[in-house]
Amino acid sequence: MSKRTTLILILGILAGLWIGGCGGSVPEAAPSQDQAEVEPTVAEEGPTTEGSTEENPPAEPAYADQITIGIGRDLYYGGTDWHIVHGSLLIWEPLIYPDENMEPQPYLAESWEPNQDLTEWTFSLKDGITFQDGSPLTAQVAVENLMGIHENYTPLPTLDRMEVIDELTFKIILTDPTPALPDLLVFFESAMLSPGTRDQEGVDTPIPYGTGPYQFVDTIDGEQIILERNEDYWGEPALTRRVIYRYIPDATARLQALQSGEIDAIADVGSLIPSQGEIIEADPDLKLETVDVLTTHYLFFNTDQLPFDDPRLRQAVSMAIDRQLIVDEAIYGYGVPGTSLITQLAEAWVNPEASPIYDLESAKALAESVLGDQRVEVIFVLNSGLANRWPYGEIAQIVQFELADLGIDVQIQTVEGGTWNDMLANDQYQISMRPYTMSSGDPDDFMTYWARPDGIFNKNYSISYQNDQIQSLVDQAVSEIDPDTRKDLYDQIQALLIEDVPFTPIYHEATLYAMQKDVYDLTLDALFRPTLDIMYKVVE
Amino acid sequence: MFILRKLLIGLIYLVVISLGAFLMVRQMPGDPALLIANQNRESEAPPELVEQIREEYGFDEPLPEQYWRWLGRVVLKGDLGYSTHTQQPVTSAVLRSLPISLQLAGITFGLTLLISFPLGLLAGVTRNQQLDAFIQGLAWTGYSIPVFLLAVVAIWLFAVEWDLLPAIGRGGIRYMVLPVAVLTIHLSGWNTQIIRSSMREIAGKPYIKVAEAKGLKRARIVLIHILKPALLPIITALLIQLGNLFSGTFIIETVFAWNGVGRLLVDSILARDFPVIQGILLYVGVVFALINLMIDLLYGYLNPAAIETLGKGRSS
Amino acid sequence: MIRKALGFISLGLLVLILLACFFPGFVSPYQPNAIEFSRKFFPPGGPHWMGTDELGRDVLTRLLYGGRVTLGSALGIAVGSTLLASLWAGVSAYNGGAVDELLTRIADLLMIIPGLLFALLLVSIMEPGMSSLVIALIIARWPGYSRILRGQIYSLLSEDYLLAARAIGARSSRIIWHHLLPNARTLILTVFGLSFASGIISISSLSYLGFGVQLPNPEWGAMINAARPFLQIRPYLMVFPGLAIVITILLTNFSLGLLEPEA
Repeated sequence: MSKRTTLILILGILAGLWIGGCGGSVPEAAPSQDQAEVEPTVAEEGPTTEGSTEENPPAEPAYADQITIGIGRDLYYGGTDWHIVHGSLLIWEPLIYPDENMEPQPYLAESWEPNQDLTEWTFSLKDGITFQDGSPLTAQVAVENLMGIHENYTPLPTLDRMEVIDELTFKIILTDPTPALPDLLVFFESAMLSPGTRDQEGVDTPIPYGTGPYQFVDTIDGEQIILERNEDYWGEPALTRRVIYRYIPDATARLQALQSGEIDAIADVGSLIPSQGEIIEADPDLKLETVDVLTTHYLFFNTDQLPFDDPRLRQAVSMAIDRQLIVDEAIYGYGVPGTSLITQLAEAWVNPEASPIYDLESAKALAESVLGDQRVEVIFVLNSGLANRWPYGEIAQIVQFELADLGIDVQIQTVEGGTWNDMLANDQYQISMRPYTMSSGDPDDFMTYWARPDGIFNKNYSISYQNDQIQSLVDQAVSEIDPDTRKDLYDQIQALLIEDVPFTPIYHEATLYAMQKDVYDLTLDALFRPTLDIMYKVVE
Repeated sequence: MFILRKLLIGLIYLVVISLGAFLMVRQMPGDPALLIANQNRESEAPPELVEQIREEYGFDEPLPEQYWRWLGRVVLKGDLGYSTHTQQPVTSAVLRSLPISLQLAGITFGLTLLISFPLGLLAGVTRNQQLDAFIQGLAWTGYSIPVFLLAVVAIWLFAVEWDLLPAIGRGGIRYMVLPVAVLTIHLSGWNTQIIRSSMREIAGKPYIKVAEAKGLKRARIVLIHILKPALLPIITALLIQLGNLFSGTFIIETVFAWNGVGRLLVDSILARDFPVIQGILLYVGVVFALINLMIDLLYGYLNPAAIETLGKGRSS
Repeated sequence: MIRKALGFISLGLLVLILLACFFPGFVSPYQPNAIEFSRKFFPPGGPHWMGTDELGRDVLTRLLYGGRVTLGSALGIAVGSTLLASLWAGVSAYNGGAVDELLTRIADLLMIIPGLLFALLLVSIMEPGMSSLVIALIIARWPGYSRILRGQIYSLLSEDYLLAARAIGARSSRIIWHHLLPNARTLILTVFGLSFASGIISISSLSYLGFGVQLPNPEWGAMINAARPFLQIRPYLMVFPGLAIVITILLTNFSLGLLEPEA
């Protein structure tokens, strides 16, 4: 064909691609972004003039209309998850939520009452609570929610059925005594969403209608979640009208956004890495906070294979790891060394005697008694996704260094998430690490997942830990009615686990979060739930 | 006709791409049902749920069946399926991230041309070895500074220290300056080298010396006798780079929090989100098919003599 | 003259660097992997010229040992990609017609698959480590370069000496190898230089996901990655490996300039 036609064709295609490029440049102007740069208008007056101690009371501090929080994950799950959004957005609320002592307390529930043998629990709801789409929270709705959650997440292994008694009362009936029932229903497991929420099958961006102080407005491009104050909230209305969550995947860029003032706070688990704490403390315009959370980082073994089929060697490894050193050096002091099997926050249940000890000499002696003068090679497999959020790389190298003294040559293999799961399932490792967050203070779920032979982590990760004694103890403890006996059982279990070491705690996490100097009352609790409703930002 | 043949080849090409992508993706280690079941969860999903998901998505079915089902849906209904990661239609996920990457790609490409063409040309034909070395030095430095470092330093200077530009995000022109600048520096280095080297290749040929001896003006020599033949590899390289740009640049998108195709592709691979991966690769296939079409047309336009090849084949 | 001078100086410096990497004992008394917390985060200067990292290891020493891995791997990627790309392009362009079409299409198909996918597949077949990454990157890169080279070779096809060689009855493979490719020398050298540089850079990006050299062994790209969390407090941890990369790439390419035909 003629040269001219060819030329025209080429230019045509190029132009097409070009226009596609520049046409697509209709800026996805996130209006909220521009708003954030406009001086926010006065929203309302503060309840009290906090911190104002001058003679002439100054004008009531003006509160910002909007606060932007930057985090490292997307809290909007959409149709992939029953809850649609993470609980930290305060859009939906649970029936039960733990207090500072990790004891389950009524939240949307008014109270609950078990029967004699803890097989029937009667719940009453608070009166007059409505969802953000106007429908009321009734016992019927509550039961539907609980059943829906159970279908997806099975928090209640002993569930028989649930019965609606009246408008605000319902009963949960179990096949066996379940002393930890309120703990099993804490937070995510008793999330209340309106029936209308479930009618959004097949909708691209389903909206969660909860009862919380904030309601869902929109997500933008998966980069932002916009929340607005629920004016009809059953409790105290929130102080800040609009809250925006921005998903900033890179940790360095996230911090820089805070430093440049583009976001007001970074407040979520793992959104600030420990090494960044130093920078924030040195910055006069920023405030750093920490909170102990229910997350513990565990090192676990493949107990089915050489060499860790021998509990003595596992014990030697546990004794050779200097947990205090790891906390000091790898996480800059922001955390608690794993001196208890479960998080120290679960005060009511921790057995203080069941504590891993650090004793290098004994460790070496023990290792020698197993290995003689042989050296053995083991694979320590790391999940790169986890290693990018927590300093697992450093910890693994420290462990490698320490175990070399025992005659154990650790080979570290870092692989991405899918490969990691695969290697664990297929017995291709000897040591690995992962974090685990307890749902409340009660060790029930932890023991079920990790200590029982059919426990999900035990199986999926080929930990293959079989201990009939522990299994029967766990079975007993899970349905033991007498609280003292139960405590005693769990003490025994913890002691046995510390001795047998199928897994061992390395450290308990303290989450860092930070905010601008002019942001107040934003705190995270042990479940990293932020106090969005009472936070505020002062504007001149 | 020529166009028809090319289109037919393009289509076959797309089918083969989709098949290749399909097969490779399913060879990835790990159980996709497990990963899908566990997303957004703190603890592991119960095995019944994993089984359920496996059945729902047909991971157990023989591969040819899975492929036919997917292909049928795409061809007959234009439906690329649903993302296993977000439950949203693949088409909307791709269409949402497309303009973002296109914007980055288009503007960067334009700027890169403006910078690397003059520099590359100059370095390619100049007799001044110092100038050549200097430009090369600039180009290699620009290309080899780690992009992450460049980006973070740029944000540090312009957003945190001097408060001139936003650190991250999208919006208006101000939000594009840093990402485009960083990417342009990086890619201009690459382009400058290719352009320079293509020019040099031809510039050293004996017939160029002949042309000079004949007394032709230097500018004329450069433009017609050196540039024209050199354009073939140059434009090939540029178009390939354009194709790479369109499939997104992961690091820039991650640091500046842009939800482009690059990030989408990497995230989907890590999450084993097969429908999205296949959807994106299909889109990339289309882009490259267009680009290859242009390259082929270019060959015909720029170098008809070359069609008379030395080998056993006939001219294309 | 400048080019030659620059070339030889660069070559000399490059050789020095390589010697230092393979005989680090002459430069540094430290061990690359020895953890020593009492020496954590020493700033550059004093007994630790480039400072120490988060585990107290000497940065310079790790650069030297890491250089072996980085440079060796990048060389492997460069040689592999360039060889494959040149041969493919040469055969393809020379034959023309259906062969050309087929070979080009195959290259096009491979070009589309992202390197990450290759890396994942290879890691599942081989163990995680440098070899799987190098092979994955070679496979991911060569098609693009092949396309570029084909373009150049096309421009050269009509030259007389090639017709002459054909007329004499020389074998195709001989023509391709001895006449065609050497005349695309400059571009092939550039492709070599580019794939060397891009190899180092890709190793760095993929080490973010755990590919490449495994802990605790040093490698320039992995060191850059590991320095990310400390970027604002200890920038030198990323700057030094970054500088190493830039300088080495510069030196390599100026050295390669010695092989260029005279202007």
